[in-house]
Amino acid sequence: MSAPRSGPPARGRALARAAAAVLVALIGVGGGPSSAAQGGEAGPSAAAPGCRRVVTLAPNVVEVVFELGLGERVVGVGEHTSWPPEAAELPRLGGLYDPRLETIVALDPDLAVLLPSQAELAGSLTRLEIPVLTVPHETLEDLEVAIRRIADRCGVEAAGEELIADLRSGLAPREEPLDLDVLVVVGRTSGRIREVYAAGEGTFLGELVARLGLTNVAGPQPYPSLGPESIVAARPEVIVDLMPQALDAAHSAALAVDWRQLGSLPAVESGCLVALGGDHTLIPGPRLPRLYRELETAIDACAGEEP
Amino acid sequence: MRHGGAAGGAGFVGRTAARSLVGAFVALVAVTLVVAVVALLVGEESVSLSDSLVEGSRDAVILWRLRLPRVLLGLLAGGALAVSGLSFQTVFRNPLAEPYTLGVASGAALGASFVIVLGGGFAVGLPWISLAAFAGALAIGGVIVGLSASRRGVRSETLLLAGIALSITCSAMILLLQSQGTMDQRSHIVQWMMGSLAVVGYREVGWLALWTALGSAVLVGHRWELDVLLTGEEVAAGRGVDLRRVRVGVLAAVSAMVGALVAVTGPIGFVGLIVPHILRRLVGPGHLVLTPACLLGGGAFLVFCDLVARTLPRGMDLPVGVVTALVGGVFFLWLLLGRGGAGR
Repeated sequence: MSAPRSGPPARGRALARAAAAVLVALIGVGGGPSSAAQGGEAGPSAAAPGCRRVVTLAPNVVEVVFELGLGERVVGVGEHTSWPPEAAELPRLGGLYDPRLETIVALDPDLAVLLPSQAELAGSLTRLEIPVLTVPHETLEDLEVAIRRIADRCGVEAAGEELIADLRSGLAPREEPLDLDVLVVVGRTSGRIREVYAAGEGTFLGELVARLGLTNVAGPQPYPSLGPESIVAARPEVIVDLMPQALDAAHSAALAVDWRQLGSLPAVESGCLVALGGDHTLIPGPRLPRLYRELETAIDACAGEEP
Repeated sequence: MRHGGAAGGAGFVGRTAARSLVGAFVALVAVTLVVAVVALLVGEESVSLSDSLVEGSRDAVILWRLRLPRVLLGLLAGGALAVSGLSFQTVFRNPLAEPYTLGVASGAALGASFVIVLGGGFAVGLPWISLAAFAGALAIGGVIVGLSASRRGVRSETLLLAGIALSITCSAMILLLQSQGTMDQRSHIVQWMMGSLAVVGYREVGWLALWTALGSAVLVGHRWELDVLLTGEEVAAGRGVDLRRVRVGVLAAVSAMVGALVAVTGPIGFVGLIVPHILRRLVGPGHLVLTPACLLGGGAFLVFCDLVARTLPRGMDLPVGVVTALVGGVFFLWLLLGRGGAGR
């Protein structure tokens, strides 16, 4: 065996110099989308808009595009798209963050509508010269911005304004506030109450709660994780479980039984335990007025009022 | 840890053994080539080779801008992971050591999670997620290298435990970030932590080729010290090996390599743990031979697993990390228990 040779300090300096040189070279290559990708159009074709072959991976965007009467232009949708039924028949392009790039390229789209959180995919599509339109999706205002942006891009501005007007009408604030403390829990599994995710004030679900005149006990964070102690301390008068799948009576009953483990909560004592299921409950899209009505009806029933 | 005790590696093999080594390498190269070619020709979409020669055609984009870079990235990432695992198993003399043992991947995941929750697009043409992941990996790697460079002398076991502690701390902070994020951000973090070889073009390939070459060069440069380390730290020190210097050099190189890798692909598990063990049985423990064998074998293994992951029927999509664990775990068990390995 030979003795150890050249020491690491000299080697380390040489490696560091080489690494720095190549890093600079690589960064110089560039290739990411412009900052505009965060708030609108990006890609080389942004100046020459196309909207004949649209792909999107976000279920809410699919619903908006179909609601605008552009369904025939959609050529591919995300893995989790289930509405409208004709969209569910289209080629699947993977999940929001694990897209099937080969399938997207094979569909030859002239527009990809993405969410701001899909910046990496926006970069990839831009490198593939597929134009990208980014639309926000966290709040009701975001939904209107998304509708307007898609409608403008695809030349159906009137349909966009009409859809926004329908949404505003369907989500009009309740004239007589319900004046109850409510906890809206999203996507919980039945069994026992551990940490649950609640819809906070700044989310589209929180905004629906506010429009009904309810007080959201989840606070200002978007989707805080609440433990049993926090829930007991918040003393909600109504608890709403929103599930992404349709609920049968047994499942709804099982969800209600879980809350009874927490004892003397006002919502448990009064029986104001609401479970709403369906693929429309967690998607900030054009079907929100339906969820809004369902929430109002269920909570009205709890409060002993006529809807 | 049993590496067979041979401290000399290739330098001590006889003619017959040398022939079998050459045979093993020829087989490894052949397997790697076959896997790479199949992975290039098979994918989500069927492509025609003749159409792929037409510039700008659909098949050309799929084959040359998506699939070939993906295969090359898989070869590099798998090789880098296997070489990293090999070096950690030697330096720490621990068969369970792997590239993520010291918390480098957790540091990268923490950096990526920060960007996912705070929001970020691109900087100087690179995604902020990758930049933050690389920075996170380097930060954790820097702490580990700093500890190993300490004049007071930190034992290998202490370094390992420090790495695990850092990893747990990073994981806790990721959970904290997840609890502050939206549902969308949570699923983004989870998806990022599953790892992926999806890539467009050759920028990431060039980036990883650089770091893999640098990391592997440092390891090959330390091959004598690493071979002697197989006989034990005391023996190595008695034979003139500067343990602290070797550890600092290897840990710095490997941490940078793993950080660069995770920044591009996310953490992909199991490759760095099992490939060195499998190949050690095939070509022996000497690092001069085992390092290039790991580069080839790790690359072939990861590309094969990615091929499986992306050609499963629709609706059965699996992250490549799940396939590496499933395929690798079963194969490794078979090797350990089935092929006369139980008695070794």
